Amino acid sequence: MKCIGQVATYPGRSANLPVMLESVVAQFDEIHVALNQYSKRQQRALPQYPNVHYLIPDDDLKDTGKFVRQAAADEYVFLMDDDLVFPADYVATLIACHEDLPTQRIAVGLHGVIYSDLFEGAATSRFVAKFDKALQRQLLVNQLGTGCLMLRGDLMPPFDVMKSAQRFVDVRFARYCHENGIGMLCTARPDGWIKDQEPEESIFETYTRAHHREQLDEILAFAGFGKLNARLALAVERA
Amino acid sequence: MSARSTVRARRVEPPVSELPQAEAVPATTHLSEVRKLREAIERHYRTNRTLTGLVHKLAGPKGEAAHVELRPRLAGATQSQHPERRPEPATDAWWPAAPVMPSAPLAAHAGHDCFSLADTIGDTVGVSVMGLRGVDLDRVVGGVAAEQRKSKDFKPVFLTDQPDFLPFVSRGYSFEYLSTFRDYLAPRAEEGRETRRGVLTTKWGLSRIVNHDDARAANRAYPPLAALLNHNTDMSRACHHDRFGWIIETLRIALSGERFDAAEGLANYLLTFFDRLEGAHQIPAARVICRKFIAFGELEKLRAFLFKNIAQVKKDDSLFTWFSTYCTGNTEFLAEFALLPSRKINVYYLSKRMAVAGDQVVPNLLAAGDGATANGNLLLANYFAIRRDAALYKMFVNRALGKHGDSLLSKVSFDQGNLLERLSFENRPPARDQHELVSVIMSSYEAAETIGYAARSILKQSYGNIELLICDDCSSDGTSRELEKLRSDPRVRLFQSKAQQGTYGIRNSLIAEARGSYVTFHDSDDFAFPDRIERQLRFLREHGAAAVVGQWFRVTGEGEFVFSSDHAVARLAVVSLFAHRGVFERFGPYRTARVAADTEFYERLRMSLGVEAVRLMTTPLILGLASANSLTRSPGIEATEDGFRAPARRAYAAAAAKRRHMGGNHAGTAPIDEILAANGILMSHAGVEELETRR
Repeated sequence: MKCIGQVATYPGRSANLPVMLESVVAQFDEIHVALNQYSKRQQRALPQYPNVHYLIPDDDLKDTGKFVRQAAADEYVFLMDDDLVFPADYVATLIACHEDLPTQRIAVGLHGVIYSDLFEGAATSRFVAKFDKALQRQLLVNQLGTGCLMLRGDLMPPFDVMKSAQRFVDVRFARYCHENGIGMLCTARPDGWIKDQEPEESIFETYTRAHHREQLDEILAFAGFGKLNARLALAVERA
Repeated sequence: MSARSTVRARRVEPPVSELPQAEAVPATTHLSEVRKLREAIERHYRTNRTLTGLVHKLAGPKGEAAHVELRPRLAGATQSQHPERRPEPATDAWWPAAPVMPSAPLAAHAGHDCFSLADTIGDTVGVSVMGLRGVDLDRVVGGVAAEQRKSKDFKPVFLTDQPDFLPFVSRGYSFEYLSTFRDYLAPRAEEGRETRRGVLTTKWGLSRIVNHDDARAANRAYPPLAALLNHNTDMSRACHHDRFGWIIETLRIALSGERFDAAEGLANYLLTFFDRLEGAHQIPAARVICRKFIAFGELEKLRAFLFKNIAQVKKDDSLFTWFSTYCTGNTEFLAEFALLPSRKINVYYLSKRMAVAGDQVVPNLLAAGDGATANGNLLLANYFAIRRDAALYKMFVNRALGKHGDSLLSKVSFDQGNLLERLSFENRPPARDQHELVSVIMSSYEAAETIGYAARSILKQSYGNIELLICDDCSSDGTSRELEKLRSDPRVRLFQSKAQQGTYGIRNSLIAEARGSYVTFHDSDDFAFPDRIERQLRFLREHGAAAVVGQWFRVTGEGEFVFSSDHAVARLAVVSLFAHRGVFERFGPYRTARVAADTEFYERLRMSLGVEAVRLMTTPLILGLASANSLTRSPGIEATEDGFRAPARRAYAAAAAKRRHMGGNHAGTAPIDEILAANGILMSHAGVEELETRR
């Protein structure tokens, strides 16, 4: 299986992207980067690697840019954010974790969210396993942050599904997985295994844009412990 | 950067505060230097927040200071901005006919941290912080600012109803002040809020409005919602610490609050992990799992679960009660189940087996003598009802009623037929103050056998200044003939449904016909205690409440009191809702469901007005007939005393509860009428006609 990285960025993150690429470029067969709002001149200023492919989309795809490439079945796809720093064993660790699971129909990630079963739209009504914090035991979650997750290429949602979800790709991705019987596993890791280049201690990260009224329908479709596949949840916690 | 902003560097002498602006010397700067400067300014603006610190940091090698001004081209908008306005529509009215709008959307401030990017950020987001103030507000605004610093791609406009502007002003953000005027109480308030949001969206060119309202502010007075919100607020911390403790409590709240939509999945998750739960969680988890099985009518699963976890059953009263009820046969009496693990009487079990167990149990109950509870007395009354011993039945019922301060039975007869038809109570003196008219509304369908005593129990109230509005819903059993017998009392007004419509359509019509200052309801097969109206009105006045609801005893036609699986007999009687007529005009109409619309209405009242205004009297006021013919026993819409709810009722209750819990966030809730229609319990309003008028 090939290992493919998929990233979306924009000029405001031009200082972050090289740092992120430097941390993972050696671990992938290919990395595809969607350069939203970039000019050709700006692209040329980016670091060049033989396995890194830049694409300037016609429109500003924002965070859906990481879904624009159509993945193949014989690939492991890693979705990544451009402002993180990944460890040297990132890809190998996630693949090993994935292969140990009782099903392959599952996405493995680090930023896990479980909403309240009685979710009413409030920012605090959810359990968050933050990607840069330790998690002692892997567990099934409602939603994974698409900034650091992997899954088999044939399980990737088509771009048509994702393109209307700018600014709330995590929610749309979670809904797609829920509707298609794809589990979402938040993997165990030590504190600081992944690092945020611009750490901000705020519960509002990714939240302000994620939870406005129009998205509640999508969240409610998969929110809560009760919406998890309980048997799978038990199996992965036993594993 | 240079294309977007004007940058000027000035050489000035420190300290900055003493520099006259006119002496500033402009200088040109290379693009990369500008970028560096901008980054330095933003970095230090975040940390120092003082111009003095910034200037000293940028001081030249000779101690000179650079004064850098970044000025975006677009003018920022503030609450004091006076934009060019569209011409107002020609009107004679001195007040504008429509909101006054700018000709183009206002440009929101980007805030201090992203000040230099003001003209490059095209996305303006409304952030609704209604109800928040002080540290709570500051926390939210700070959180939004942190996110903006990170993404640099949106400008917030805060929408507030609190006069606490410092968090916005200190960070350089635009905001809108919106007074609420208690709009939660206003009719069509939701529609008004939507309109207002639409106006603001146009005014500021908002791409969306993010909700960070303090829902607690509006709903603090409604305990079910407050409990849910408090529980949710603590979720992340609680789950990191004790995930299953949190899940158990969530399921308990879901069942208590009729969130059956959430209960099913939660119970399944808990059941899957049950064997892995630590000891302290097993009994609480077993309780909520069993409650879910009962509510959903999954009795085989319940039995299997209880047998499998017999060790827990022996330790817990609730599990023991359910085991004794569902796992030991329907009629057989086993003495070992007469007492609960806590050594209390297993009232619920005994109440269903008095016919076979009475001779063994009654001596023990009698030994308790005067110290017996009201429930114990009613259990004894059940035994004497079975033996048709009117004197002892009356004695024990009166003992129970006396403990509530209720009126006492004067006459009981166990002749053929419904006991309620042959009950009478001791006479009560007329209420002293009867100057306000009370309208009592009653609908009847196939009620020929019961409508007589039901109506007489109202007409014989100690509070006589009433009108009794009765509407027959196209019955075929001679109900209308029975109603004609009531016509001799001038306080009775008779109506006829134009087509069968169910009880709530009738209520809506009769509320409009009511002439009383107060309105209440009575079912056509129930018996009101003779001072019901007097006590409710007195309670309402004494507590300054808008509405009051009492309790009832359910009793069979043979006189046996019906106990619930929590061993209690007195239950909330939503039908006894007694309120100022204006309450119905403001919060009505009832939804035209076949069942349970009064519960939805009652909860809506409690949520809107608060529990201080909608009071509960912990006093039985009614004997409600528990009959196989009642709606609560009708196939497909049952609601039984053990907690079972038919699927249609569950769907309705869950939809209504979800709407209450979601507050203004209705996006996730389907229209309740659609849910009722899908479950076959949506009725059509048909209207009524008054029989006297027709003649």
